Amino acid sequence: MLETTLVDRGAIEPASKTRGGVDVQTRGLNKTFGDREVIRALDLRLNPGELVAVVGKSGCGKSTLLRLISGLDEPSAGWIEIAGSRLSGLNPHARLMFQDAALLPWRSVQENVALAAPRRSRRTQIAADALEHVGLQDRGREWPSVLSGGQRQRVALARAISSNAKLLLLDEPLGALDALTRLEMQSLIERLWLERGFSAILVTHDVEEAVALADRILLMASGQVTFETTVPLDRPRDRSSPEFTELKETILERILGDR
Amino acid sequence: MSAVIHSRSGSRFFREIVPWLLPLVLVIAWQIFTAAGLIPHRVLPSPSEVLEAGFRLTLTGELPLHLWESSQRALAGLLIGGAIGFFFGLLNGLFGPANRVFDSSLQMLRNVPHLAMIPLVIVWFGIGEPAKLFLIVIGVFFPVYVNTVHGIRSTDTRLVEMGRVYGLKPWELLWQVVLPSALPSILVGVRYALGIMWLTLIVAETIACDNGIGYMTMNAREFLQTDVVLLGILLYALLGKLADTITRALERWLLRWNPAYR
Ligand SMILES: Nc1ncnc2c1ncn2[C@@H]1O[C@H](COP(=O)(O)OP(=O)(O)O)[C@@H](O)[C@H]1O
Ligand SMILES: [Mg+2]
Repeated sequence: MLETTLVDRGAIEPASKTRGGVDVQTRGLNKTFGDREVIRALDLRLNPGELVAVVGKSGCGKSTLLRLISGLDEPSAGWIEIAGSRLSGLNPHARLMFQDAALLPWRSVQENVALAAPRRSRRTQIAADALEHVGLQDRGREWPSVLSGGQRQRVALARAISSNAKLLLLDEPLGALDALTRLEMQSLIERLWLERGFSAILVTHDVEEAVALADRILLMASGQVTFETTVPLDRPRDRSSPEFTELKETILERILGDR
Repeated sequence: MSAVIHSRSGSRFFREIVPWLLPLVLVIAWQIFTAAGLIPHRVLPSPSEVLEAGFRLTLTGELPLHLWESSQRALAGLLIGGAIGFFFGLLNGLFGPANRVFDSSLQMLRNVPHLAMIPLVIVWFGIGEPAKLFLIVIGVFFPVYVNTVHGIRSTDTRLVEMGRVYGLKPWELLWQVVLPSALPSILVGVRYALGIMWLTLIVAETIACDNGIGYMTMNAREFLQTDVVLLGILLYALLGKLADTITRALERWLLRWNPAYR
C-alpha cells in the first residue's frame, strides 16, 4: 500500500513536489569560531521542494552550515533568507536529523513522534500515522532503547514528518548504519520526500547516496562551495547505469582533487 | 553495575532469597552461641530476648511512639533538606551566573563534616527539635545538591537542541528533557542523602532528646538493658534498609526507560 501511493504521487505528479517545501537562500554567509573561518562568504540557493546533497571532507563546515540554517547558531556575517524573509532565531520550518536519532529515551516511540506534531492537533493520531509511514506502526509503545539504529532513524524521520517540516536538514543521518539498512533508509527518505515535497539538504560522505537521492549536489571545501552539479537522472535511479557511475566518479575525483 | 556484566540467571525466587541467607545464618549462630552461654548475657543478649524486648515495648506503646517520632524527624529533615538542595541544584545547574555566585562557596561548606557543627548548632538552637532538624537538613542538602547540579550539567546537548528545533518552550525543555535526563543522578543523590539522614538522626537523638529510637537506646543503656539497646540498633538497620528498598523500587519505576535499571 505504501508502495502504490508513493509511486502514484512521485512518478505521475511531479509538479506537486512544491507543496510542502520552502526556499532557502544564504547571502554572504560567514561563520567563525575564534579566529577560524568555518563558513566563508557562502551563497547558496535551495529551491522549494528541492533535495540538495552536500558532500565534502570532514571538517569542511557542513554541520556548521546546517546549524546556521536551522537557527541553532548565528552567522558571524551575512544572513539567511527562508521563503524570502530574513531568518532570526530558530528556523520554524527546519527539522534537523543527526547521525544519532536524538530521541528522548524516557518517552515511548510514539510519544517521541507526537511531541513534534503541531500543538492543538490530534497528536497521537498524527504520530500513529507517521509511524505507519515508516513501517513502525507496531513499535509505538516501546522505549527507543530497544530499537535498532535503523529503526531509531525511522522514528526520527517519522518525527520530522509529523511536524509537517517544510525543510529537512539531514546531517549524515545514515552514517552509522550498515550498508543494507542504509539502502532501505535511502529509499524511505526518497519516498517521504516525493510524497511530502519538503525541501531538504542532505549532508553525506557517501557520494553514491548523494547521486541516488539528490536533485543537485554541492561539493564543499573549507567553508565554500567549490563544485556544483545537477543530477539529470530519472527516478527511481538505477545505480548500475553508466550515467550514474560516471557522475559518481566525477564527484569523487573532484573531492579527492580538492585540498 | 553487576547487572551490566552478568546475564540474568536463576529463578526470581532464588534471586530474592539469596541475599537473606547470610543474615539468617548469622542470627542462627548468634542464637546458638548466646543460648549455650558462650557469650555473657550483659554483653550480647540472644536474638529471642531482643525480639521479646521488642514485643514488650510495643505493648506498652513506647516503641511505636519512638519509631513515629524518629521517622517524622527523619522525613521532615529529608524533605526540607532535599527540597533546598534540589532548588539550588536546579538554579546552579541551569544558570551559569548563579553557579559562579554560589557553587564554590557551597563546595567549600561541603568539606565541613556536618556533624562537626553540633556544638555550634547547640549554641544556636539549644538542644530542642530545631537543632536536630537543622543537622539533618544540612546533611541531606549536599548530596542532593551536588548530584542535581551534576545531572543537569550532563544533559545531552543534542537532546536539548532537538527539543528547541521542535519548538519546545523553555519550561517544556526543563520538564521533558533536562529533568528526566538528570533524574538518575538526582536519585543517586537521594540514596546518599538517606544514608546521611539516618546517621545524623542517630547522632542527634543520642546527644539530647526525650523521644525517638536514639533516646530509647541511650535510656536503656543507663539501665543496662542491653536487649533494648540492641533492639534500637537493629531498628536503625531495618529502617535504613526499608528506605533504601523504597528508593530502589522508585528508581526502577522512574527509570524503567533505561535498560540499566530494568
Ligand atoms: N562550536 C564550535 N566551536 C569551535 N569550533 C567548531 C565548533 N563547531 C565546529 N567547529 C569547527 O568547525 C569546523 C567545521 O566543523 P563541521 O561543520 O562540524 O564540519 P563537518 O560537518 O563538515 O565535518 C571544524 O574544524 C570544527 O572543529
Ligand atoms: Mg559533520
